[in-house]
Amino acid sequence: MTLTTETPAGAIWFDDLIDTETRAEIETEVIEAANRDRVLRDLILTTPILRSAILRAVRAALHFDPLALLADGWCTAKDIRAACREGGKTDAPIVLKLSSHSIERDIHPAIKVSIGFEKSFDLDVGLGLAGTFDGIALTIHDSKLESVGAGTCGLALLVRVAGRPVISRVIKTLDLPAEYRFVQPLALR
Amino acid sequence: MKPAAVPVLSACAFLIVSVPALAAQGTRSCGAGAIRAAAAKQVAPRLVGCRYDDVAVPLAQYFAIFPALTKTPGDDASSTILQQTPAAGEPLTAGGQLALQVSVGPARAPQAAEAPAVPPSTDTPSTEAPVTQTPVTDLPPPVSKTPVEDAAPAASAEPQVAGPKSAQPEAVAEAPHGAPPKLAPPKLSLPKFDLPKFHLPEITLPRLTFPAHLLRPGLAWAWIGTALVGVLLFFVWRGRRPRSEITYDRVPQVSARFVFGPSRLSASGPLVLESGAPT
Repeated sequence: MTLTTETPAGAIWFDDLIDTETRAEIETEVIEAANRDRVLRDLILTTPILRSAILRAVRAALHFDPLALLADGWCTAKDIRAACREGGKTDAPIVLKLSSHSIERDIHPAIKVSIGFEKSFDLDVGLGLAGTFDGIALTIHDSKLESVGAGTCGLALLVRVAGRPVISRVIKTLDLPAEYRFVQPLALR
Repeated sequence: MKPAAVPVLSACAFLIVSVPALAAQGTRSCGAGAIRAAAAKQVAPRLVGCRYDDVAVPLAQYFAIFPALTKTPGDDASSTILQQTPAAGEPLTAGGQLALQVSVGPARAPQAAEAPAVPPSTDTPSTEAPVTQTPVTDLPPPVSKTPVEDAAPAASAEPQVAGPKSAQPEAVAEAPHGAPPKLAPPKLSLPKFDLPKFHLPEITLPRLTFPAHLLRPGLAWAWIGTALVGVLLFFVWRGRRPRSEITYDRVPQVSARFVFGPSRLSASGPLVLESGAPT
């Protein structure tokens, strides 16, 4: 799934939605998770520039489209797939009006370091992104989700360490435009 | 040149230069290694035949001893140790008593032998603490005032040479009459001082000490040579690499990616309210 390919007009980026304090908390949790990894901690100690490089990489990874991330919940929903099969006899797009619902998805950051050798580290920290949608409509064409629009989306962030939530933060409630098109249509599965 | 070859070549250069020197240091009976080994066994090292200059510093370092020296003339080279007390192999603890008989070289000519003895070596003065001079037998007896009445009338006409007249009666007697007497220079003797012997307190030497033979001046050139060879190889290695490779291969490249888990959709009722064509 491509979440950060282009920058369409009116695009919504996760790093633009979170405030400085939330971003600092995420970076702190990532660094602490990196220090819990013995090998990665030794690398950071011997190569101090690695710490800032990790933070830069995490900031860059936070630049993703939260709606495209949560849209995976729509693509895998049985009700939406069944509705598409019922109304998808023609090639015309279908608009599905959805009831209030919420989608939650877990994100696990992984760090890949290249200093002469290359090694990937799965950090012991998890980010949970939750979206509460109300009054939205999906536009599906050719079994692909093309856009979402006309409703509200409340975003919340949950940071877990070793499975336990340590940070819970309501990010923002978005008023979605009439049609928010994804960079790439998402196939229903 | 492959990067891995640089440390290998440096190690080889170090071994080639330093191992023979180290081996020579370790096998010499007069070297610091032998004295250190003797200090570990608490026995006197074998010093006879060694040069005092070579063993003075190791003795002070490993035994905390400033040996009492007795300087005697001999056929051996100057500063050669002729005798030692206690003998090699006998017990000798740190801070103990060690007496050495050191040669000052061959006996000098008679004119030079009359001069007061000069210490043969001056490069290690700090290690020659209590020096016991060999009694010089040809020194004149203590000066005694000769009564003026005993002097010959002719001699009394001579200017009164200050000093011991009793030291030159033969010279005056052998001189022919009418010729001025040949005056021998007065023989002076330094009064002997009884220097108090002092002993350093016993020092417990640490077990882990940096081997002194690695810091000897002769061996320092081995270190310098090894370092120069290493620096030369390093620059040869760096010079053969492209500039871009030098600049960027040490910069850590870090990338973070997010692994997305499965999404969970929850709705209180039916999810799809209605479907239709777009308006």
